[in-house]
Amino acid sequence: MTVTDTFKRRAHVVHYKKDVIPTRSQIEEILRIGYPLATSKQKAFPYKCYVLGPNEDRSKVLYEMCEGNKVEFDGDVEKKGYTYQANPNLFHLATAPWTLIFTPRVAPGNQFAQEQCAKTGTKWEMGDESFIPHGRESWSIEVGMIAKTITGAILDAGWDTSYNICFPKNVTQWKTSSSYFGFIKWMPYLVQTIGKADLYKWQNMKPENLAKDTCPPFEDIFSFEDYE
Amino acid sequence: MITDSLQRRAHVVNYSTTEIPTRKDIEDILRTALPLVTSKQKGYPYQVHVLGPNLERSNKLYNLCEGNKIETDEQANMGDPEKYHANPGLYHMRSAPWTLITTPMTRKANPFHKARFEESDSLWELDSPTFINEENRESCAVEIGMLAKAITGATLDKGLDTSYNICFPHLVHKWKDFPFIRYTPTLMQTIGKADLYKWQTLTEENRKLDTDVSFEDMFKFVD
Repeated sequence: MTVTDTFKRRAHVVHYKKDVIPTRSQIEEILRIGYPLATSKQKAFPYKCYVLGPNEDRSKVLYEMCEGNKVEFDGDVEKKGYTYQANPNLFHLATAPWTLIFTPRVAPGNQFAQEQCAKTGTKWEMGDESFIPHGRESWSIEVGMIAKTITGAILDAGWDTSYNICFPKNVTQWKTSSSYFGFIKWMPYLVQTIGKADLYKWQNMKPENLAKDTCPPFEDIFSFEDYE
Repeated sequence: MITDSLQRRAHVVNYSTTEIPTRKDIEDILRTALPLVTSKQKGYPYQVHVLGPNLERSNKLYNLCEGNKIETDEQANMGDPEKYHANPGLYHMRSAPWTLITTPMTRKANPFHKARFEESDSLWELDSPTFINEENRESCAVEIGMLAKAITGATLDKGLDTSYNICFPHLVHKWKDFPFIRYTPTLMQTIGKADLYKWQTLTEENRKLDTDVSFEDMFKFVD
């Protein structure tokens, strides 16, 4: 099996099935496969993953928070003569039976890291809450990596998954908009949903739109600097 | 299974300087990985600069990164020179035959999203240098992490090794010897054939102390 065999089936979900729902034990198994395949600088893993199980009302609240974030960003488009269209890329949040929310975490070093820092006079930054705003970009990379390894385990188990990075960027909004998300202490990095897809985005698009929804060419992404 | 591809990954200390992947090997890896990742609105607001075998340049990159570590410790009023040890976590940089440096990059909307954004009076932000370099770095980093992991899978499937580095200067003017760098990098990733892994350099006692975070500390089942 190659990495392609695992990942080639991934597709963005519009709606998840309501009658085929992964059990907690299946989700835990996926996470226990995905986690050891991720890595973290100095084994700090300065992030935490909140795992939310099936709760239709909470999923809808989360969807509305994220769609509300888009509306707030765009302003009142109808006043300007445009027709409001909900973002279909966020629909997966509304029906997701399982939702992972990744946030920062204050991460004390393991015993080896502590000893090495003491020996070399190096500062351990990840154990300091005030460093979180400075570390967010680097830690987002690690969150992207674990999301990918979890994705692999999800697909191998025959389930589907989608991501979302459009959500309120102010942690107060998470705490005040609903009692469901009081556990969020720092603004999340990523929201990932898991379930069995009922409809994928590609099935929801006209053939002419699929043809236009292109990725940048390989040469625009990868620049070989030693070759003309 | 994903485990088949990724379980062999280990942080590299030294790469072999005799067994060097060809440009074709690297291009195969990158062409395998790219279609396995996704990007919000197919924006892919990043660029990967691919640097081939050049030991002198690899050493220069290593010195840039180790220098950054020294400067960070000095700024924190730490880094007692008498206790100075070079960071072995960075050694892979100096012998790496291939180095990927990923930075943010502006992108125009594809024809589908261009039409959708115009229809709904939404703002496409990824073509703004200020936006991609200042406001979108964190979201972009999530996608860069996903790409790095897909590249990792393709690298390991080919029997090669790879390591990451996020310790480097975060001021773009410090990259003046690498003129293709227009925006501060987000991630560096090296590829080659390992001669020595980090775990092989640790004593058995230290390997036991160098633990991962427990599953329960990492994953919190809210219900």
